[in-house]
Amino acid sequence: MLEIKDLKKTYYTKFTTALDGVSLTVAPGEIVGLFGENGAGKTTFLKCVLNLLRYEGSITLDGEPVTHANIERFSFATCEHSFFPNLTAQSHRDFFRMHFPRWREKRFQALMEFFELPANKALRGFSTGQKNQFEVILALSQGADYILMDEPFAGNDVFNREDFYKVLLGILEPNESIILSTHLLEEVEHFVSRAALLRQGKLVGDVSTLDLEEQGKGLLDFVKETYRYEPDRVSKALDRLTEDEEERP
Amino acid sequence: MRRIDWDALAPLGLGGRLTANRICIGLGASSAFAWIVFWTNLEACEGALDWFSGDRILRFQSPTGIMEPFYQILDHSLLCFGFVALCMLPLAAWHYCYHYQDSRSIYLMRRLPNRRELWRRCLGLPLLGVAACGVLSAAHVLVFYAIYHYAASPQCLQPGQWRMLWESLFH
Repeated sequence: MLEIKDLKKTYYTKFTTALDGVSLTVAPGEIVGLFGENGAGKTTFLKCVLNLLRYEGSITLDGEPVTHANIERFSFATCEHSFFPNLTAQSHRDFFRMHFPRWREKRFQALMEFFELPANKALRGFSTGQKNQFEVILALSQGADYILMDEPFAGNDVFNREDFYKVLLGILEPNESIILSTHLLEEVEHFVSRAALLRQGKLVGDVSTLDLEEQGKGLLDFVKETYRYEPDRVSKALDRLTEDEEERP
Repeated sequence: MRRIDWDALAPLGLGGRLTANRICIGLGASSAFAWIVFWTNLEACEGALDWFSGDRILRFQSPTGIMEPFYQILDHSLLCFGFVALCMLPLAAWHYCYHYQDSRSIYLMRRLPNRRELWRRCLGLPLLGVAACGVLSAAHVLVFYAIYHYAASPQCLQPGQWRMLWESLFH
């Protein structure tokens, strides 16, 4: 069980509070969608969980703080990419195998084959879509219990993303959890089992998709509702713009 | 004998062997510089040496009867080793910054169960380079001193050569 309590993160250099008292619990097997506008704190949240950033509050995994002793239970796929561009896929496999004892060789080979990624080509020669795919393949093959993903499909075409969701649902084992940060709400609606909503560093919504279904709401409705989205915001702004132009001589 | 895995001492994909070769070139050049400076200084000593005369090596015979102290002949011959050692600082910084180039491989390196892996790959070669500079400098001092000692007649040598060398380093 991953427990995050009263997580706070302040960037003193920017004088901003990226996270302000976020508490969240993720049980084994859950697929949590982490949503929010740009700058809401999604990436910061994931980086804090991975101990990549200093924070206030507590983050524990099965009651233990996240340290080098249990960090292998987390994997991370990010749109910034965490692989080595000069290395081949094969060399990455060797490196991961050496450092992560629970490396899933069979899964790695199967995913490489499915996405038809070249094993002996340096990653810098991959297309953006292929790079994203490989980043996610590494995260899924590491043998982690908690797979953290930060906009992993940014730059992939819609068919590609669709394939990935299907593959993910097909290969995940019951004890594997995913925390997926993305803007593609409608696409992941049927993939996530829970939605957590961040706004200006605060957790403003946390709901299971089952509850939403029972309420007859979609994920997008939930987000709009929680964000108090005004549907007529655009028309009002356009009206104001045209009024200004008409007033001009 | 176990061979050193140079690639394991540099960031992944950077080529540790290539960097090690470049450090070796720097060390070789430093050694050449040291020999040139030392030899030039030794030859410039008053009453320069007739090193070889027939089959016999002649020793230094100063007209004044006193050979210049070792530290003066050593002069700045080891300067390049210091420069190579200093170059290890930007090398270490570059190794670290490499993890931010074209991707954020730093995220992977920082979440490895082996916490020493990142530092081994960033500092391994630079530290080896500094150590090599230190060892080679010391070796050169010893060899040069042996040559100096052999080249000069014992009665021409001033006492307290090492003390003078030590003092020249810190004053």
